[in-house]
Amino acid sequence: MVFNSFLFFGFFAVTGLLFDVVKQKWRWIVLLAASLLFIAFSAPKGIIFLLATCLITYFCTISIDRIYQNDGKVETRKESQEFKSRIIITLDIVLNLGILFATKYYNFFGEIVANIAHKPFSAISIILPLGISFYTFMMIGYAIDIYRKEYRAQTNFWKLFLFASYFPQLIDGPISRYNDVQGTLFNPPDIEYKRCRDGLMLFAWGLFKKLCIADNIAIYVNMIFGNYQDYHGLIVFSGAVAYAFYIYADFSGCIDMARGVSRYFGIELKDNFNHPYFAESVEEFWRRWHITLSLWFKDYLFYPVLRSKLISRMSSKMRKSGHKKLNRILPTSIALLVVWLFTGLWHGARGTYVAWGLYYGVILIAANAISVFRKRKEKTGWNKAASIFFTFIVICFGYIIFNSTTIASAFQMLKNVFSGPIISMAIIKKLGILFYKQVGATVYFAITVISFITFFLVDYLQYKGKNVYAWFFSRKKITKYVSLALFVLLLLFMMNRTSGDFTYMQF
Amino acid sequence: MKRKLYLSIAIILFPAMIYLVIFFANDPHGYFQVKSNSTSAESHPLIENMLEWKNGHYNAILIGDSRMGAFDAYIDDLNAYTGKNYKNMSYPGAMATEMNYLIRWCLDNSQEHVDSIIIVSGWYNFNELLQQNRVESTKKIIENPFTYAFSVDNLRDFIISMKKDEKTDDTEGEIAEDISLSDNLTSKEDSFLTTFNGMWNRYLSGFELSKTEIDELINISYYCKDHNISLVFVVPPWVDWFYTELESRAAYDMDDYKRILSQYFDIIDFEFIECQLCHNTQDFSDVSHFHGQTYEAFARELITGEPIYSRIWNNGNVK
Repeated sequence: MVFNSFLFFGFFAVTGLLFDVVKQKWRWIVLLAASLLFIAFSAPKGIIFLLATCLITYFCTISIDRIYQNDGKVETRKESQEFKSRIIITLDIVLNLGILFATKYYNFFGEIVANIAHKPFSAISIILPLGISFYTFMMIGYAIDIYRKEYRAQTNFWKLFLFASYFPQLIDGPISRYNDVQGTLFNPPDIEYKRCRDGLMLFAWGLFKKLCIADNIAIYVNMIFGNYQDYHGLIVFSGAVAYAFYIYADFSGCIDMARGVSRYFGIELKDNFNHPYFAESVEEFWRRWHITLSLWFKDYLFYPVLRSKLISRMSSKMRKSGHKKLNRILPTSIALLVVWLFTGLWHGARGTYVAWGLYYGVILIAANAISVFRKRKEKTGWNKAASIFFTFIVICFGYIIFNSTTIASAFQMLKNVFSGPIISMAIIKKLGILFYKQVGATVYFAITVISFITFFLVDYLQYKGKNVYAWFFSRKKITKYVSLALFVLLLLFMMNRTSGDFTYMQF
Repeated sequence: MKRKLYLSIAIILFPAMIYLVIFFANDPHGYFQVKSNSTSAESHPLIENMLEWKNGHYNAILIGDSRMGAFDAYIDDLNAYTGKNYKNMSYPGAMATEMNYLIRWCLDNSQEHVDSIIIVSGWYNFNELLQQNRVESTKKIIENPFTYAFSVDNLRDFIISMKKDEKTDDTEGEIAEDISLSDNLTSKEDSFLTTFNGMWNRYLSGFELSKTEIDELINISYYCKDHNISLVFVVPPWVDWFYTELESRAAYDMDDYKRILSQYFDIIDFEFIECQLCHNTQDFSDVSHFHGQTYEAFARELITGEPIYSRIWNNGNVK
């Protein structure tokens, strides 16, 4: 079941009504039942892996918590307790990553190892469990927080299961932190007009991004990436630009829908995007794009690597030998490389994802090194616009690697950008006809163009700090109701054209 | 507070609800089977064909573009001659992608074992520039009543069904105009040129054979062989004027796809300038659509499979 389906609309309506009629203390059970039903409709077989991850995390975190509870009581055994909790957290991480590895990466690494060893490899056929990359990271993050004594472990298994399986965030995230949602997730507030209205609006806006923009731009993206051999120069690059808007509309649309549904139930999920294409540098882009994943890697991988014994020892040696600048570059570079290798791998078992991760790893290492030698200045006017433009170009080159199926095809596509004619009117005409035909008809073509302009404009106004929602809700009642009714009709009429799936579902 | 919320939702959804009720009462294709007389195939034959296929007991498929719309008059003859129950799945503008997709869909959604497929297609239908897939979205439309109701195509058909009487008058007017045009050869050639120029400017000048669809058709032929399904591929004629005009503008080889496909199944081919059926200009309403005696001869040959005006391609060559 996906958000952009009539089945989900019915499911959401029934869940919303049930949520409203039951007493507050039972509401989390309604959400748990709804999440189980959501999985049953979407990918029932995957529930085994979800259950396994939850059971492992539950028993490990309960054990760590018990060890800490005894911590103050038996002083003499403190070191042994720390050792025990470290063993348990390692076991938790290994087992959870083991499930992720078996379902997502076994064939990828198995093939690589078999190729190196010149031995035959028989791939296993496993359907990737729904949202496994998201809930595995959420559960590992939760277990590490317990290990770090940030809060107490959840003793009710089903509440922990709800945290992992909560249906709005199951398919595409965001990667929530337990402490951010537990208060409202296990004790949701009453239905409240303004909050529910805002939730439904956010859901509708996300649906608009998916149906009217992402699904239509996807047609052009497939035309270029599917036949990249035939195109050169700016035309092949336009595929990457289109992909940039496609993936933004698709992913942020899904996140808006998830946050909208969740806001309706009074559970605020973290936003994953902060107008990423207005970033002035690649570092800033990654503070604005897929924020919850970036923060996860920062807290649970980047800092642990940076503070590891090996890096600390290396760092102190450099300090002692007077290499201050190198000390500011090398440890961070190693941590960045590790983080970006894993970021690439998180997206999937494919060489291009690893290459894409390394692409950003190298860029951010270079940016960090430059910042050591040169102080960054505040940019204004044309300088700022140029920075935004060049950052976007760098991101688009990254998308060529990301969206190619093989490294060879990514290289060929990159080569085509810099070879052949820069632009060809005959090909533009051909692509125009193909896009027009495939998008459906004049009405859909017009909807695509108008929707894209609206989307861009709203994103720009929000980036400039304007509250578009507040502006809309300050209009006259009749204007609001008529425009919302028309907006709903537009979305309903676009429903039958949707591809259904969201790109980040596969991750 | 709660009341305000539910009231607001109801107000916003009210127009959609009203639309649903009116649409339900005037369902243009008989999906909900409320009205016995639907608007018929003139509005959206693809939806109706797919609905009829899904609910009917057919064991043979006839698929083609608008040129096969008139074949409905001969479908009983085809059934009587072959002893099968054919469903004419043809609809205007059917391209290779859609035909291939529709065949797969029919095979997956049949109530009977399908043992015969006749595809009526040609060179123009394999143009890469024309490929689109309306069948895929129509499939979604007929699988879900909400998707069916909230479809732009069905909204259009729904409006047509509301103005059904006016529409019938208009159609008659168009046919009358067409017949009067066909009486005058000069006007006819002018009309051929107008159609041709439209085709040339948009799709023909950049013609590219769709290798993907050729491969998909070959895959379908393998499927047919594995499942004992007879596959016949028929290529209808163009008016002779078309071949001459096309040749004067570009050196396209209209036989290259036949050489490939005939290695996998036989082709009954009317698409060559020497074909007797392409010379009766009076029977052509435009460069590709024909009627009268030409259609009669074409239909008879399609039914019997005996080559009189056609040539047969086999193993990459004309037999």
